[in-house]
Amino acid sequence: MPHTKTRSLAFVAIPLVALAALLVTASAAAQRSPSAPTAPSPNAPSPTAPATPPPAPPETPPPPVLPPGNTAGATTALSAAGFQLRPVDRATVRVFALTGVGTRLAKGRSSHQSRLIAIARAGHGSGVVIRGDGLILTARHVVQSADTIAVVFPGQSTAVPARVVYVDPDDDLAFLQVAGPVADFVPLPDAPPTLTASQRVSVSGYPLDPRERFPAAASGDVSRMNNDGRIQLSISVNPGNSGGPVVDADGKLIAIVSERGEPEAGVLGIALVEPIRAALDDFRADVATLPPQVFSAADARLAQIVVDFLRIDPDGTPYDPAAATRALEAARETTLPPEASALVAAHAWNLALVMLETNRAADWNALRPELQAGATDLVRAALALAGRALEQAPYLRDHYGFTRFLLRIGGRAVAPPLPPVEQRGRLQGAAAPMR
Amino acid sequence: MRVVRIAFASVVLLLSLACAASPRQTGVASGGLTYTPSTGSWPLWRLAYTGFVFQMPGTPVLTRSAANDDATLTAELSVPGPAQFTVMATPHEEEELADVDRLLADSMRAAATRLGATVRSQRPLEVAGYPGVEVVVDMMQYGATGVVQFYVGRTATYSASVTFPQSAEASIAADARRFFESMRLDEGDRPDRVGQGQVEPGAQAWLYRSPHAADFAVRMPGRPTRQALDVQTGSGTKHALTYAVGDAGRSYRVTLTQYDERPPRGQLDGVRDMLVQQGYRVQSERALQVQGYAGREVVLAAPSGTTTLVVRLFTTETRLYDVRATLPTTATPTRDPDAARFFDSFRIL
Repeated sequence: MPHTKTRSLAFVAIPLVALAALLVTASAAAQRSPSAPTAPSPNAPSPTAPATPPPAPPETPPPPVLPPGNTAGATTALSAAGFQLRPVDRATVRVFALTGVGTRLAKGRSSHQSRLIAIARAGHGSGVVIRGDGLILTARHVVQSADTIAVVFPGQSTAVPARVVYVDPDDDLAFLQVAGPVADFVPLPDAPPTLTASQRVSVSGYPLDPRERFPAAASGDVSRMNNDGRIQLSISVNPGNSGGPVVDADGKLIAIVSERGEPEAGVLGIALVEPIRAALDDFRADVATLPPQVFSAADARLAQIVVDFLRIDPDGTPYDPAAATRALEAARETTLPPEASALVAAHAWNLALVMLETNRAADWNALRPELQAGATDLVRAALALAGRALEQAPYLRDHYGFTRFLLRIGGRAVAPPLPPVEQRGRLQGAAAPMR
Repeated sequence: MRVVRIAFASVVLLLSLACAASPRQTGVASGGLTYTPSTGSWPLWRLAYTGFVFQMPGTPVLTRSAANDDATLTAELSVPGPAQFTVMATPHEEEELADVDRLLADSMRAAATRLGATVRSQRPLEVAGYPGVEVVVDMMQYGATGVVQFYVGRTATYSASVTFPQSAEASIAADARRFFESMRLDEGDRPDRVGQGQVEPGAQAWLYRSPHAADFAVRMPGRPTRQALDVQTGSGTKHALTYAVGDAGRSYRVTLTQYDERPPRGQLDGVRDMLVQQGYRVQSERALQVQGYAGREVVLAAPSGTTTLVVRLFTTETRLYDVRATLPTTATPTRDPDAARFFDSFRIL
C-alpha cells in the first residue's frame, strides 16, 4: 500500500489485510456508542423531568440488495426504506484493488487443525463515474500496484471488472473504465470551478467497512489551498474514502479525496483533496480520446472472484457453492494471466478450507463422500494454478507468496507445524514424505 | 559476513558429527569401519515451508531448528549412523548474494583450514538455477571425511552433507551420490543473478529476470549486467542501477533511480528533453501506465539514423523506472515481437 506522505497525513484507501481487525473495531465501537457518556444535548430532558417511555422506533426495512447492473433502481429501492441518495452518491462506486496474496498459519475454529490460509493483499477505496460509458475517476494511490481491479456499484453485491486507463504522473488521480452504459454519473465540469474559503462542500465514499452497500456522505468547509496546489477541507474522512468525489452545494464535481489527517499524529478532521482542474487537464489531453475497453465474461468472473475472495473468511463463512463454481470455471480458463491464476488458486484453496471447517473435518478424507469430489476439484485446481502461475511468472513468489507455500505443503489440508526452537527428537512435521 | 558464518557453522557441524561418532565408529580407532550400502528404496522428503526435497537412506531426525517467522526456517535433519546424512536450510539476507560463488568457496576453505581440516577438492555446481559449491574435506585427526554441497537461494542457504569414516569411503560412494543427486529445489527461492549481458539465442532465453533488490521483473534474452551509477536529477544526485542485455543490433535496459520522495513533477518530460538535447528526434509520444503507475512512452530516432530508441518511463512513490529498447530502424517498434516481449512483460514489484 502507498506510504504515508507526511507524518500527519495518510492516504485513505484501506489495506484489506487489516480488514478483520478493522471490522472488529468498527463493530465494537458501534456497539459502545449508545451507552458512551456524552455531553447532554440542550434539548435533553433534565434529570428531574418525569420519565416518559421513548417512542417506539419506526419499522424500517433494511436497505435492499439491488440486482446486478446499473444503479438506476437505487433511488426507488432505497426510498422504500426511507432513505434518499443524492445523484453524486448514486455515481459513487467502491473500488477493490488486489495487489497480491500472502499467507498465514491459523488453527481452524471448528476443526482445530493447523491451516495454511490465503490472505488477500488488497486496497479498498472509492471512485465516481464521470461518463455514461463507464469512465470512473478515482485517486491514483487506490489503484497503484493493482493486478486485478473490481468495482461495485451502490446497493449491489456483484462486482464488475475495471481497468486503469490513465494515471496522472504528478497528482493523485487515476481514470478507470468499466463496461457501460452507466445511468448515474456526475460529469466533469466544463471549466474548473472557483472555490471560496469557507465554502460548504461534501464528500461521498465507502469509508471503513467495505461490506456496506451504500456510500456514506460527509460535509464540511473549504479551508485553504495548500502550497502544493491541493485543497484542504474541514471534513473527517476515513480509510476507504480515497478516490471519492467532493461536490459543491449544487452537486458539481470539484475534487477527489486523497488524504486524511492521521489521528495518531494528532491531526483530526481534515481532508486533502485533488482539485478537479488537474483531472480536467488529464481528460482533455489524454483520456477523452482513449479507445474503448472490451470486457469478456472471464473478466467479469475474475472481478467477482476478487470480491468473493475478499469477503470469504475460511474460518467463519458458510460454504458458497456458487463461489466454488465460479472458481472452478475460472480455473478452466487457459489464458489467465499469471496474477489471475494465483488469485484463483488462492480463492479455490480457501473455499476448500471453508468446506472442511463448515463440516468440522480435519482433512479431505474426513468429508462426507458427496463433498469429497468438490473439495478435491478445488484443491487440484488450486495446486495446478499455483504451479502454472509460478512457472509462467517466477516473480510472483513474493507478492503472491501463497502460491509457493501451497505447493510446498503439497496441498495438505493440515499444514505442517513449524518446529519450535531447539526441538530435538523424532521428526514431527518439519519434513514429510511426499505423496 | 553471514554466509561465512553459515559455512563456518557447517564445518563445525561436520566436525561435531565426526566427533560425536564413537571411537569404535571412527575408522582410525577401530582400524577400519565399513559402510553397508542400502539396498531398498529411499523415501522422498520435503523440508516443510521450503522447496527443499531430498532422499535419505532412512527416516531423518530433526536435530536443530528455529522458526524465524512464517516464511523462513532453520532446520537440520540427519540420519545418524556410522555415516551421517544431513540436510540443512538456513535463512540469510538477500543482500548477501553478491558474488556468492567466491564467498562460499573461500569461506569453506578458510574455515576448514582454521579447524585443521584439509580441503581435498572443491567444485562449483548449480542445481535448478541455484548456485552452489561442493567441498570434500578430510579431518585426519578424526579419521573422517565430509562431503558438503551448498546451494544458495534468495532467502536461504541449503546444504547437504555426508560424513563418514575414511575407511568407509569406497563403500559409501554409491549412497552418497544417490543422496546428492536426489536434491531438488523449487523455483520459489531461486536467485536471479546478474550476468554478462549477452543476448542468448532462441525464444527460450526470454526468461523473467527479477534481480534481487531491484523491485521489478521483466523478460530479457539473457542474464543482464548490473551497473550502479549516480545520476543528476532535478532534485539532486540520486543513486541508480541499470540492468542491461544487448548486442550490436539490439539492447534492452532497465534503469531505476531511487528518490527519497516521489520523483519531482515534470520528471518524465525531463528525460525526453535530455534525449532531444543529445540529438534524438521524437517520433511519437503517449501516456501509459502499468499496474496503476503513471508512465510515458517516447519513441525516438537516434542521431546516427540507424537505430530507434523506445523509452517507457514509470514513476512510483520513490522511484523512476526507465525501461528502454534500442532497435534497428528496420524494426517497427509497435509490431516487433522481441520489443513486445520485453515491454509487455515489465512489472513493478
